[in-house]
Amino acid sequence: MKIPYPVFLKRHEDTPKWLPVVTSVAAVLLAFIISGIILAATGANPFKVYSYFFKASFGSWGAFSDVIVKATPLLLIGLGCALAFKMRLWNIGAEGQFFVGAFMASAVVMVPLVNLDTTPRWAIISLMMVLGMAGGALYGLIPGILKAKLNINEVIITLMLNYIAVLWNNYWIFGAWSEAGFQMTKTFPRSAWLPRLADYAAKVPAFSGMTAHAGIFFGIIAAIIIYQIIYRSKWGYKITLIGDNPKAARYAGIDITRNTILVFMVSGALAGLAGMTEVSGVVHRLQERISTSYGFSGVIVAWLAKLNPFAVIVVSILFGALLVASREIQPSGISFLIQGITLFLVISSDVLLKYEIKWVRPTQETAQ
Amino acid sequence: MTFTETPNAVPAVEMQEITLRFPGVLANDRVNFTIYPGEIHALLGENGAGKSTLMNTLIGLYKPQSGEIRIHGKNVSFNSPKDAIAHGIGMVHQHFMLVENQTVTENILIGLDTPRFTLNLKKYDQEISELAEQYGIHIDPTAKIWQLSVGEQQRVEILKILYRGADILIMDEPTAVLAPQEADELIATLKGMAAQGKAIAFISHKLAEVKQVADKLTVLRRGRATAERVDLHDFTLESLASLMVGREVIFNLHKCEQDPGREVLRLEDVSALNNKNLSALRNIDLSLHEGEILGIAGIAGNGQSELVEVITGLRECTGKIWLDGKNIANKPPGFSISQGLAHIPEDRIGVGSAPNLSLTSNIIMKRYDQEPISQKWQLDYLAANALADSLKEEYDIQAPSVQTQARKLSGGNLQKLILARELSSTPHLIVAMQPTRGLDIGAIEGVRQLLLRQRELGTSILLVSEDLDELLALSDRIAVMYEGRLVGLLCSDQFDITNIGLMMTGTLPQDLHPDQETTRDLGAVYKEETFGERSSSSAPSSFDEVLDHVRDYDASEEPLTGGLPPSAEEGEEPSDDSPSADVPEEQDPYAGISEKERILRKILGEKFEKRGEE
Repeated sequence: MKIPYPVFLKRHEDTPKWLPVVTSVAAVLLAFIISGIILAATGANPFKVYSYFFKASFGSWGAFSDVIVKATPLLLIGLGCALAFKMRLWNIGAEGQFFVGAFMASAVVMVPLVNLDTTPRWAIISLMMVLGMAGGALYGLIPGILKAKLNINEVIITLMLNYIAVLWNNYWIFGAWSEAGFQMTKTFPRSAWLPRLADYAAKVPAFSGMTAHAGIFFGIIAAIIIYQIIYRSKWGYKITLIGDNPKAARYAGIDITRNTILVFMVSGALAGLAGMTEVSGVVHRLQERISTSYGFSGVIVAWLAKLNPFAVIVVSILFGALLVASREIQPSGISFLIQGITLFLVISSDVLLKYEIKWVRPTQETAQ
Repeated sequence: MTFTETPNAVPAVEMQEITLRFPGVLANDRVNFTIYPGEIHALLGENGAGKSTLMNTLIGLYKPQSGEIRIHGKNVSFNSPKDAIAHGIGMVHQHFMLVENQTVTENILIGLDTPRFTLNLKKYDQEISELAEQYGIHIDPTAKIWQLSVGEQQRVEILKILYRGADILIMDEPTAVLAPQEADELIATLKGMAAQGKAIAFISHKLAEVKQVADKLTVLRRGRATAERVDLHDFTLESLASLMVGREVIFNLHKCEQDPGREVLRLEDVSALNNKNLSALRNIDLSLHEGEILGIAGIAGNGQSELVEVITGLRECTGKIWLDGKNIANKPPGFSISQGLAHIPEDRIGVGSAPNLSLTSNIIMKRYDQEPISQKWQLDYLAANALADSLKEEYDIQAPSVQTQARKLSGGNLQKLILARELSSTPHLIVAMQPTRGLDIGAIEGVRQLLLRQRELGTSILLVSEDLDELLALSDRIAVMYEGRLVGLLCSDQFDITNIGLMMTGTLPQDLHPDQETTRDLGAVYKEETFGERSSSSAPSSFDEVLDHVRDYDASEEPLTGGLPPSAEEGEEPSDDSPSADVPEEQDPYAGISEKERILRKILGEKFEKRGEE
């Protein structure tokens, strides 16, 4: 590959292990610098903005708790995307799977599937988790089957299914489950709430007002499991092999149809679980705006993390911080600007992983 | 250095003590390379010997860690091919870089600073015609690239370089993609250009061709020069071959006599469709025994790929395929693997390996589910690496480590990796398709010996190859495929290259009557002239036949045109008594002969022509 004077790219013979980390961190820093320049151009003091930014997200335990709340769905969705992307399955449908998971979890309360007064809290929450994951998995099954059996482009299907899921939820919250005509369900009873830090404020006064909920533990456990799957398990080996060369995988006797469907279902289940944690842990009802594009941000998170489950934890916290900060600073678009620039730079920085940039000096010539 | 200096001349290219190191590989180790104007200097070596690296250094794609490059006596240091072309150095790569939908002239002008804005094509057509004429290159400047044959496209690439004023041309295995006639024409063109003072570097691994074209020779082996700027006439082909591979090449494979054992594989009335849903296999019946190599001969595209795919479970079929008494027809590939079937696929990169994964991941592809690598749901990467390490050692796979990505291996090493994976699983049946295609002599020999060793161990081998000499050397029986049918089955005492050739072109064995003049005549020529020895030993014995191997593996890389076989068609006479320059260029020597005869000539190459000359 060659680009015109004065630089050219030379393919790396070996990509050092530390390089992806360095380029990602550098991309994030550069994003802040570029955004800073834009901020300065609009007349703001970028250092002040960033320090406020930092305070808004990490300045206190309360703020950090908010960051965790935002990071939880991003983490779960990012993990699901990372697994699918590892197999080069472009699941862009996490948003829809998230909504269906939220819907299924809400159904436990709204139908209701169990007696909410007598059933113990752990049983209700477990059931919501199972149904939320099942909902996401089933919603992942649709593109999974279409992709595996008919080789239909999964990007298009998953993208379209997102709209269907949102509208399906709207049907319920506008209609049958609507509370007094508002576009939301009634508030869930306490027995359907995920435990929050604030619940323990009586024992630990510092937790007062903190909304971080147990969902983050699901996320961390999921990260450990997904890591084990990708890097330690036979299934992960198969996924990686299919991702790198499906023909070789088939030749090696691996059932691609089955694994496509399975990966789609697991990916969907994680997004569904994220939907469940959001209704059960944060808003405590099903409503229209339960997602600030978590499903799409999750795609970005997975990509920034280079599909490494532990890196997904870090990146989702960073993105959670950006979301929290966007509430605090005006215009709120700034954090989305940083998000966009970060993604742009990280994706561009991929070129550095493959190629080394050589600066071209004028040809040295010495006459003899 | 022991070369004869051309007096009073400055070398066009002088590369001194070039050293280039890639991670884990010393690609060039203090190599010297000098060309004088008017000279064709061949660079000979196996795949991965460092030939292309050296030339890529010359054109500025790589920078040497040490060493000096002088062009016409001036020290230079190039950063890109653009610098090199500015100094009059151009390279014709194996893969052409042409725009299909544009004309010859347009392709030549691409990337130039003039014309700047408007394009007076006619004027440039004229210019290019004149340039082509000057070097005896025949091309229509107004033709679109897609209308041209591979040989003509190559001429466009050469013209592209000449038009940019190059006086130093690097040809990277230029005949690999050419039919014999085109190769002859190219060689004549190159000689003509040299006579007009161009300096030409000619990369090749074909001994006979090098002997024919080059004035001087440099041989590389594993990055080091084993001969530098030597005169070609000082060497016999045998000594060149050993310089290239570093030891006396054993051209006679030892195949022991052994009786085949029980039946391992049986196909009953197997039919299948190809990817276009056309009938590709028609009612195939065949059987294969323990310790037997069954060769499948045929021109590419006559159902061989599909045959391999139905046996390995990669394609659906009708009929029955019995492997050790179990019907494996239409079973998933995993099933036949578990039944002891090994598959050496035709497409090593696209099917046989996962290019971005490590050697280890590629080695365990078919046994990740077996202990000790499999530990319940987990994969024991330590055990996997240990296995990969031992196989890397055993099969002499050259790579920095087992963590190296498969795509970084050279063709021969990748094939060794695939063989290591497939053969180490102690298979009952090996299905090998084109196992030596694209490999260099040393590697070809290694692969063939591995297959013969498996045969001695009692493994059954189905060997599909377009290389007739390979089939004759290895097979116990040869089945010939034509249009999806098995049209003939020959035992080793019936092997006859003419008959096989005829069957490959659709002549059924029962039609081979002695009253067919041409056929008999041809057969007679064969037996007497070239294959007399083979019919008794069934292994290649004369050096002539060895040369066929050398030619074949490269010829087979060419894209098939018109269903013609790529085998044995690079047949230039290695001896000096047939200089190619006297081949009249305007005349098509194939004109006026029947299709069948034309195909036969393609298959039989020089042997057929020899008869024609008499």
